[in-house]
Amino acid sequence: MKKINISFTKTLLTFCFFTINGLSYAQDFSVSKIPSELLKDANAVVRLDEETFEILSKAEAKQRNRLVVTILNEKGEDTYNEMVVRHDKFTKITDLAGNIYDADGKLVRKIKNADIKEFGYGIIGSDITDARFKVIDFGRKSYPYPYSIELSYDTRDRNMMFYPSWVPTNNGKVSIEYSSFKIKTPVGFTFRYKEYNGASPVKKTIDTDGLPLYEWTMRNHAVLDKMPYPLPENEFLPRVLTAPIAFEIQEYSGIFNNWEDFSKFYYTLNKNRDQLPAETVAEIKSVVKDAKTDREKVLLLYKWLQARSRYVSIQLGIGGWQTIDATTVAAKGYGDCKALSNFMAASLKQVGITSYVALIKAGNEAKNNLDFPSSQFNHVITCAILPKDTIWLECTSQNTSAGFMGSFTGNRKALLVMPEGGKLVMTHFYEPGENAVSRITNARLDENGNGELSVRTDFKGMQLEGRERLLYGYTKEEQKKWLLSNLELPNMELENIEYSKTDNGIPVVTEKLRIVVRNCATRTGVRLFVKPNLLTRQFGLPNSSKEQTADFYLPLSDYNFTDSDSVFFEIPAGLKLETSLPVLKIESIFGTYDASATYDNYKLSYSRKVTMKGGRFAAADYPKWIEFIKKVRKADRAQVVFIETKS
Amino acid sequence: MFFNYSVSVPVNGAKFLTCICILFALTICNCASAQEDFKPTHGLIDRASLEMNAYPEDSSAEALVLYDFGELKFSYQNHIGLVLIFEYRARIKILKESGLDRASVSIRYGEGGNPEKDESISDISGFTYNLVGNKIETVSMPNKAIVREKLSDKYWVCKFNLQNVRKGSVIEYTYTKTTPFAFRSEPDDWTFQQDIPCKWSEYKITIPNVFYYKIIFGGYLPLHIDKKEDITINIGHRQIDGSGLVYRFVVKDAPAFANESYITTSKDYVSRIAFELASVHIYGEGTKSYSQTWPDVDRTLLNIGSFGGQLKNFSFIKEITEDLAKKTSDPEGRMTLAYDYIRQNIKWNGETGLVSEGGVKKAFENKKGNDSDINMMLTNLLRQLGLESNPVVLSTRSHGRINEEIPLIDGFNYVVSHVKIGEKEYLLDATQRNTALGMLPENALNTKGRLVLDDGKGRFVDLKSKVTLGKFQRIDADVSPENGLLKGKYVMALSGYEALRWRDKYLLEAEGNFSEQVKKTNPEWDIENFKVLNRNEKLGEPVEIAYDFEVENDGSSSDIFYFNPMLAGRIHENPFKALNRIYPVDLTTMSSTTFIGNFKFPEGYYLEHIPKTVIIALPEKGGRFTFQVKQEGNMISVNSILMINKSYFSASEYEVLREFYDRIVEKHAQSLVFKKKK
Repeated sequence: MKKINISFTKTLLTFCFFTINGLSYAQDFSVSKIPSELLKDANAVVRLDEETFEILSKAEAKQRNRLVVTILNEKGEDTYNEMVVRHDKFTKITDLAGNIYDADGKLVRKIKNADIKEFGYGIIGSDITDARFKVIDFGRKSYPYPYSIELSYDTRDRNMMFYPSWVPTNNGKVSIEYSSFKIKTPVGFTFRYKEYNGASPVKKTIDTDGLPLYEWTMRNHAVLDKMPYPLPENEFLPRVLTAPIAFEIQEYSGIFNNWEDFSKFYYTLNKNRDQLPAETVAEIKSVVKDAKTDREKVLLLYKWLQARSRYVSIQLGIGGWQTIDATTVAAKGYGDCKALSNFMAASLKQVGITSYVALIKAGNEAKNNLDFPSSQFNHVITCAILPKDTIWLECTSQNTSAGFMGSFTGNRKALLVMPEGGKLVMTHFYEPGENAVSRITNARLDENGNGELSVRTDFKGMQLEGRERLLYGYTKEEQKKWLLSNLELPNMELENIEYSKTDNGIPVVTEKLRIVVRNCATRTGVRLFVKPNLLTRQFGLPNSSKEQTADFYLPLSDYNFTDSDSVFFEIPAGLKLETSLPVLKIESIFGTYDASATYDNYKLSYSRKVTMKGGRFAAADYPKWIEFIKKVRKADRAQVVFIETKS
Repeated sequence: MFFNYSVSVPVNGAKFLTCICILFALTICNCASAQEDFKPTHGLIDRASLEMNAYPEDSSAEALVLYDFGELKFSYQNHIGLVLIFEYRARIKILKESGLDRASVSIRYGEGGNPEKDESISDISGFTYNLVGNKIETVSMPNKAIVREKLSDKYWVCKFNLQNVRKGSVIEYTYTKTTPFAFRSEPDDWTFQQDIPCKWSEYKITIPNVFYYKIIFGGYLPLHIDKKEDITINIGHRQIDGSGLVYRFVVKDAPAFANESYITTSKDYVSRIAFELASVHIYGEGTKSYSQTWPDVDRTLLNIGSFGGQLKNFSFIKEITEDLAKKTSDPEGRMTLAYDYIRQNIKWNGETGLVSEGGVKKAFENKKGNDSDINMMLTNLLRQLGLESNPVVLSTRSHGRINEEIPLIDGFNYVVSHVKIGEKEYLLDATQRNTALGMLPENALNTKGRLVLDDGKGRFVDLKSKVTLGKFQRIDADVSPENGLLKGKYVMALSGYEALRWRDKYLLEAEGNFSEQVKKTNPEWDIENFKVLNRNEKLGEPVEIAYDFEVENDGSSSDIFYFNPMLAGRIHENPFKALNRIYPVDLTTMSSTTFIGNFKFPEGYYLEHIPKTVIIALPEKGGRFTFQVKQEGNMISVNSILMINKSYFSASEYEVLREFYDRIVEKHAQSLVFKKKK
């Protein structure tokens, strides 16, 4: 799957801090004024971070940003040395200034034109875009720590589909002395907003010019302790989301009170872009001519789309929101996620299957706050509606199976785009049993401990993704290199590597390996030490000894799976068992672990099964979690010792 | 005029040849040629290429370059002057979906609004060939699919996407890049090897005899065609027209270049060709020479304002000179003072470069500069302090190896300072915060550097460091076989480059980060009294880490106790797992890794079996591993010493290196067995 290709948020500073004006109070940036608790663990202190979004009309706004940061050390300098301001056709920078102050708050340098460089976004990749950015370099001279930098700029915005959101802290090693977010509107103008995770409630006032002013602030926020297994940021970082109720962009005007409105507007923006040329229609008809069911038609057309098109990132047109029409995609054979999803839906329409494109926030563990309708998506997929069933289609990938929604788009809500306004629907959630790895290993050991392994592993669900990359994206040499460095074996010769994928409703990637392993078991004198858990990775323990005070989160992308292993060792003749065989069963709220071994007639059989259920857990359960992993780690290290029969 | 061609022995019977050949322009070709030739017609595809669905030599390659062709010619254009015209053509078979990105092409070119110096990309054409049913379908790319974007003030990019590309397609495109001689006087490098396999890669270049280029080959693939012919040049410029040479180079069936561990940079290993303008010889105007011999290189460098010009007696240096001179008259003492002064007061901006960016004076004012600014400043200061100091230019590891046989300025990208006191020589680099005097950062340890001196006295100096990666670990512990408990003290001393790595990594971190890291590496250990000594007080001396620990050993039962004594420093996996290797192994530095364990066990137990002492050595004193277990009363001591005395192993030594590590892994895995006395 390809990178996300619509830039939705109005984040102008890529380094995440929004800023602004309102310089009505003291301008003393001397370091002595920083409250001592803000210095603890901090690499930098945000002294002042102000952002004012001044709505002029439904179609236009001005934004003023001002940021003052005191740099305490080299790490802080690395973060703030270069500041980036993005702009495009809809966002113009009208004013930009920068200053540097010494520890006493005395101005030592003004940023000059030579310190500002301008780049096209295309420098980063193969995207086609009109977005550009300015890089302001504060680091041309070296200053003794601490010192402060200031950046201010104004922008003019003509893309009023989206209002800014405010997330004053980024959970890094930066403390905040003062941060504020203001929205100023014409008299009687309405918009929507919502505060999360303890963000200060809004203060409504009337500005000096008689216009309504809404303000949120944060003061004296120290650096937070980094916790292992933190909650997703949208569940604990203070934030304010805002959104328009009525807006205009170019010749379009829209209403945005709820998800239905938003869905409808996206529909309007992209209406009638699903016409297909006659020869493409004919091609579609021939593709599905032998299909018996609608489901078969969807699968055939999806395969056909995957084979005839590819993904190219394009960020042009109405803020990256209006799709290239289906006719153009038919001719060129490429498009971005909107265009390919639209093309897919247009094709399905030709064979009488209802489908909708759907907006989604893609990415591993990507989270949003969908109880507040605002633009929080970055990707488009297609949803085919069948009488008893829906099939989700990721149209930017050439390899993904129909219906597969893994770590990129699975287990989250997507907004269906429908003419009368669509709703949020859940994409597929993979239960632990569906994210499965099952492995069978046959290992023939010789008397020196060297082993010949033949391994067959099936990967399913989200656990399939990594091996699918090996299958589709790697050369033989790269596959070999990857295995050499990722299989935790002392040394090996990979004699055979084979990957294949089958898809009978549920996609499975099968890996078959034949490996010769030096020192697979350890021979010491008369004994042979065998570690039966041969190929499965260990659970990691967190490195923090700090007390867990908050709820913790075991990401579903990492901790929601089933691993089953069966290993059959052939033990060389002349040896007998000296130790007992490992047996362990653990049950917990986090999952279960079950390992056992049997030995008979020179055959050591070992089986291990782990089922994990991730999610959010109470702080009080943390010790149980640590105990669980410790037990599992110990069981996984277990070894079986054999000794020569003669001794 | 001479011809130099060296071919080393095949490696491990593999089909690759190590071929580093150097040939100079104006040589007479004596090489055999007339092998199989290949030139497909543009716009016309053969059915076999379309029907192919995998490349047998690399069954999982995502795409295969069928034909990769570049031709460079000189031309003269009235308004611009002399230009280099490069015609490029590629034909690529898409074998897997992940290869579809090959149909998105980006070409960077220099354009800053000065027509005499602006490059241009023209004559772009593209075709996609598909097999539809049984018919060959050819789609040509329309002009509107070509987009140009400004990247920065100096560079633009031209992008295009070929159409209707799918798995199985063959794509083909061409373009012409025109480079004014005033923008760049050297043809771009040509690489015969890519990240996907390539069946035919060909480079052709026509050079008028007025230009004298050095042609440099690199890599490990043999040339299939290597041809040279005389030609008459007629480009409409009186001074350039006349005789010339056409070279043609072909590499056939190049495998995909795969990156390896323990190499400098892929550029040193990939098969490629590069050019450097050595001189221009115009009839009636004589010869203008660029760099030709090493003394020429030295002289050129010393004459450049941004290099030699920075060794002037600046007044700002004077003040510090006086300050430092007062403190001591001892030359070594002065050297240390100057080194520490620059190192601590002038900050490195992270950039590498052969020449100073804004000048040493500006860097001094800004208290910030690149390596050249900083080390030229240091050289300058050392000279003012009465020491014999000169710059050494070198190429960093990520920049690639320099070739002593080819005098090239372009090969260098870094400057350090050389000091000679009596017979002792030092190399200093003041860009790094944590390097002890005389130590270069690891990236600078790349074969040899050039000591730049006037009057032909310049010479190469060995950059190999005598400083090792040193790691010493020691554990003194009491063992209780009853419950498997181990309790004791742990000490680690990191020296040389290990100390440097540690300091670079942890000195900027919060105090607790390292102890957290240690706990993460040994999650089962209970660690107390964690101490770090000599974080950075004395850079030349080891960083010492000590703590008390307690851990439960897994292998205990009531009357037998299995115990692996390699509690620290155990090598679990062979770092050289690949069965064979084409490239040499470049370890950067030598290393020394020691573990000593002293274990006290209670009365009532005995050690059933004492593993034999093992000493394994690499040939030519390349390395040595000693492993010894001794018992004295109820004390067991374990000694594991691994010395690697070379930083560079040739590919032919790989097999023995791999075997050497296998033996270490095996030894380190062995457990001791205690039994209860009956």
